[in-house]
Amino acid sequence: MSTLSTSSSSKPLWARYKPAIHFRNAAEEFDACKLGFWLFLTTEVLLFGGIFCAYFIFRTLYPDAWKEGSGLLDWRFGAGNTVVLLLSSYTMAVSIYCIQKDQQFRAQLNLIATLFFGALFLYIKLAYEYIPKWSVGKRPGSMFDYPFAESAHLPLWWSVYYCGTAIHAAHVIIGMILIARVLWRTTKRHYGPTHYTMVEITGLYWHLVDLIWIFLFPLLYLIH
Amino acid sequence: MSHSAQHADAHDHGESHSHAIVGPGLLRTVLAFLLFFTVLTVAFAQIEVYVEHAVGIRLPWWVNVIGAMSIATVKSVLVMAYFMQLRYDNPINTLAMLFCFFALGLFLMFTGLDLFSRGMVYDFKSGPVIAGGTGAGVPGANNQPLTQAAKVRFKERLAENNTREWLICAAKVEDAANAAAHSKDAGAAEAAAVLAAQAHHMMDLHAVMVHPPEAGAQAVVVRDLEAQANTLRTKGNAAAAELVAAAARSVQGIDMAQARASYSVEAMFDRLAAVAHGGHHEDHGAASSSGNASRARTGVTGVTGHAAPHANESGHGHGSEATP
Repeated sequence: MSTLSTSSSSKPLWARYKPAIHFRNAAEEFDACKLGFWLFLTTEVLLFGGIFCAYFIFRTLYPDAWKEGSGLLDWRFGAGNTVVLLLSSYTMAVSIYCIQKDQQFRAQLNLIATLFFGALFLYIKLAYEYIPKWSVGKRPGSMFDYPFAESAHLPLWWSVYYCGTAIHAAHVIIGMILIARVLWRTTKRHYGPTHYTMVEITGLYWHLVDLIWIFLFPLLYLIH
Repeated sequence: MSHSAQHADAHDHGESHSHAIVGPGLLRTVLAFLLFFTVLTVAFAQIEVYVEHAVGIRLPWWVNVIGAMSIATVKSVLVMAYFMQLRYDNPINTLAMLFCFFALGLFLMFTGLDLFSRGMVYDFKSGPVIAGGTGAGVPGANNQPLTQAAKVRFKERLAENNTREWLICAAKVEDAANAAAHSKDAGAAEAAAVLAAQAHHMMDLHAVMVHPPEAGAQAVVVRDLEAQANTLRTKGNAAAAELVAAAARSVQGIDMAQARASYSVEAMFDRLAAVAHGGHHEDHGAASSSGNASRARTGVTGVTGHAAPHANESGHGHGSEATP
């Protein structure tokens, strides 16, 4: 640190940030990064599109299994998790605002809140859904061992349920790692009003997690 | 709402047209809308269930689907426009996303086109594309559907004597709870609540599948009931305490050898299936806090089952009240 901040510059890291040489200015770099990330997000949507397509096909072929399966889920946990993710999206967006206004401490608080909500989501998912369901045999595909199934295709429902929610949960974990990194770098004053690309992009990723859940929740828990 | 998002001053970093600053006030408004729509989508689904059960009108399946998906679309537009700031962004980002949704639409459309139209060309191709999807070919399934194989495995477990004894005790406790519920004696209501909670705990499906019952179920249940009778006694409710103690004595009086012989695996399975289909609460008592389960959890590693020694009396109307 001491080697970096010489007498010529006591400015924080974000104020000393220089865009890569192939960009005309920081704004152009910011826009390019964002466009690149949006393109990445389209591939994420298509990744979940595969799950949605599987849901669509099997629901059409085996409506009884889907009706029975969604009846085995409790909407209260799904709705609770929806609220948790919406709150986390809000705190994430507020933390970007705080960085833009150079309110570093408030930004950190909001990032910590976002991490907390992410962890809460995973806790609800594991403790109230995955573990109790898995242990009574409500498992995907060949691992299925639930004795009271009525539809012979119920294992397929659990395959789609676990694939959809587990890939989503993996995104929650990755998002939390990214947020933790941003939080760490915030303590080093990496981000401020003129440079916050990474905060913005991490936010986009986190909102996508929310976006996917907005569709997974009604598809799995509400539609019957 | 757009006026509350101001554009950042340009002098900071050149000609920045894309650095919008979306203030907390606007974000809070959007959050409020998103939470409102979450409540709305849940209410929509619940109303449909209610209408079907109470009024007997069965809405067509697409009402549910269209309703839920429309609300989800509105929510996602709000998230993308304000949280993800597409509204203030370079429009090319929106364009990229729209194109992606178009591609997703094509993907789903052609899948549906194929799926729904096979029967129009060849009759024999209507219905399931490939007969199967039941996992019958999976090792361990013995060429039965996986659901059937799971049933067989579970019945083998039910045949074990520990499980059987536990279920016989559970049935006795349930009988006592029903008797107390129908009685007008002093303290009967309190005793019925305690006994029903105990019976409910013993029918916890999660417990029997995860922790197989241990030997000596009879003694464990008697001890549990006596402890609860003592609790009632210290609370000054002697009448209820006596009823619970009586239930404990009746559990103690079961002739296990004889009861075991007269209680078939099929009867046990049917009672458990009735519990499982009565709702999905077996999931939740398990992982955590669900009220009465934790109360009754004193020293019992747990087991399951709405067991009835007299299988012919099955289901004389305990089901509806038993759900928490």
